[in-house]
Amino acid sequence: MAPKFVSRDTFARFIAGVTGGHELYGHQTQEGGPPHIVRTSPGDITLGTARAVEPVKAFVCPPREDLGECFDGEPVPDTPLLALVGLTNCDLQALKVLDEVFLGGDVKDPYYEKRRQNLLIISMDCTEPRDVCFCTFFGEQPYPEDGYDLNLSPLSNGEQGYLVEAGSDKGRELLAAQQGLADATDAQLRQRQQQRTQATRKVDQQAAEAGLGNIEEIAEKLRKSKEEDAEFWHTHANKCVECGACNFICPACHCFLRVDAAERGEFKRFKNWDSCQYPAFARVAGGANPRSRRTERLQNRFEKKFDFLPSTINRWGCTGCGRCTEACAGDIDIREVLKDILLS
Amino acid sequence: MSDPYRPIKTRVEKVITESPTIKTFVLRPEQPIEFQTGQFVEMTVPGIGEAPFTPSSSPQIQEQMDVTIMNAGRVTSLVHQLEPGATVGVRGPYGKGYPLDKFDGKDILILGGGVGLAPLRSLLYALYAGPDRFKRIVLCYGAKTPAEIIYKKQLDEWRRMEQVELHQSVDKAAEGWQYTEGVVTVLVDDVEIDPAKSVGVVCGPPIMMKFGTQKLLGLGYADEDIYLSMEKNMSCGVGKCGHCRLGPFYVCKDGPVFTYAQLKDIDKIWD
Repeated sequence: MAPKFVSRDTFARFIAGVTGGHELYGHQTQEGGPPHIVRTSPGDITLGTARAVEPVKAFVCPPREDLGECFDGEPVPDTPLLALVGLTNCDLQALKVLDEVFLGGDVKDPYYEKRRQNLLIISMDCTEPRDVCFCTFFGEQPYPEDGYDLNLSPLSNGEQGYLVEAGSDKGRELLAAQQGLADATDAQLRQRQQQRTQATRKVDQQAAEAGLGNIEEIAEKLRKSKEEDAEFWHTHANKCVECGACNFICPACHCFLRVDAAERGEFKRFKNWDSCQYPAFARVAGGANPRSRRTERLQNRFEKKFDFLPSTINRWGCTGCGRCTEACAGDIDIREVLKDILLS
Repeated sequence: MSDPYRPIKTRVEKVITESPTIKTFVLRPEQPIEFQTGQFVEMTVPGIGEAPFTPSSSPQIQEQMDVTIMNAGRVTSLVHQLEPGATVGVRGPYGKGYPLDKFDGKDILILGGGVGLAPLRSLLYALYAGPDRFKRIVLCYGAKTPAEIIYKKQLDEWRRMEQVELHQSVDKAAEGWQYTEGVVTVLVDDVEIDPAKSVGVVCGPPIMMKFGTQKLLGLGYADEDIYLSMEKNMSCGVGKCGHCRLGPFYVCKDGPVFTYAQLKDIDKIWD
């Protein structure tokens, strides 16, 4: 199915048409800042030029998933149909990690499964990747090639309208059902290609400037490195204030804690996001803690992303979105840590 | 859709005080829970929290399950306040237990320390359940003091059993103690056993696991003939939540029983 063209004037109507029956979440962009994904209405969406602050995982495994009553009640409650407008390729890549974790293996997580099935993904091209972005380092690019239902390519930041491409059966059906959309012209497709090339070049250049070399090489170094070998782990870890922001803002981080609580006379169960940077993350009853020091915990984060996940699910646990670098209260830059691993 | 995080409602049938800090809870789940010896379960105190335990009872009994719990943390201190009739939750079993088929035709040398005897009791029940399947089971059990020895009744039974050879030590003896004083590894010195025709099993606190494993290696046990039950803070039990990562493994699904061969190249396994 050829990409279609949606004019600026009909964009809100188009979004309303394809997201009918869904709770709508989309970009809200304020001057000078990154977009946020908020509950919105078709006319209020203001697409940003790069990924949003909020990671996609917030919509498929929320910070506190209510698992219901301890023993009784509906096994897995229904969740609403959600349409997300403005996801970028880094989030779509992270969804692949989350899918492997929560739907792969012997046991599926039915809470994730339900939310995932109920997701309508309307992604977009990044036209001006953020300065911290380095997705091309992982062999990706700042526009989606798969993993979406519909993808939007804003032409001149939407001034000249949008190209819409379907990436799934659901997307193709939705697109086919919209009346009166013209096929994208050759000139429009050329413009999209130019924009994509330009955005890719910017990210490539940023990754090159970070001096990261090759991710395979970094992963190999990481596998061989022992903590005592390298001062740099301590240097970075000493800046960590153990706030967990890097984990919570990361679209691919997925660790959680099964929690019980008494609420309004009921015994309830929850799945709460957890952070491997918290001191108690690996502590066992009795107090033994294999990762009692910040250095060990920082290393754990990198081992999980660049050794454990590639070796168990064949995916990097990082998509180069740069959120953790922006969120870190201690100014730890993931690119600098990776570079130090490379140079170690 | 079934919910892997939902426990089965379970009644506490009986509470046995084993030592000042250790109690055994006899549990009766509303639906029988079939487990293999060495696998673990998550036990929930409704509204409070849950923690992983390895059943200490025979895997052949499904309608009832014993868990032996040391008062050591937030959840376990509350568990210790439970009385018969209380309602708890149990979900599982999870992970990989002791591979008894790999033990076939071999003698079994077991090193247990402290409350680490809990999973080993289940293993012992499984080992001598089949008549003559395992001809010689050597149990070396160490506790800190005579007061902290658990399963005193079973230990007496095992002492009388022909299949079982029991050696006992305490770190610090008290009046009337008639067995060895010292750490559990010294007991192994009195055991005549051929490492090529036996397997070693170690379960206890981390430091004891470390020295126990070194002892077995020193005797000539092959890396793959040493079985270790690893303690981590498993939360989900199904390889999702990330808490129990040990090198390339999640202890909840790849363990908790590992061979030393699987673990030896991993950094800091005894921490």
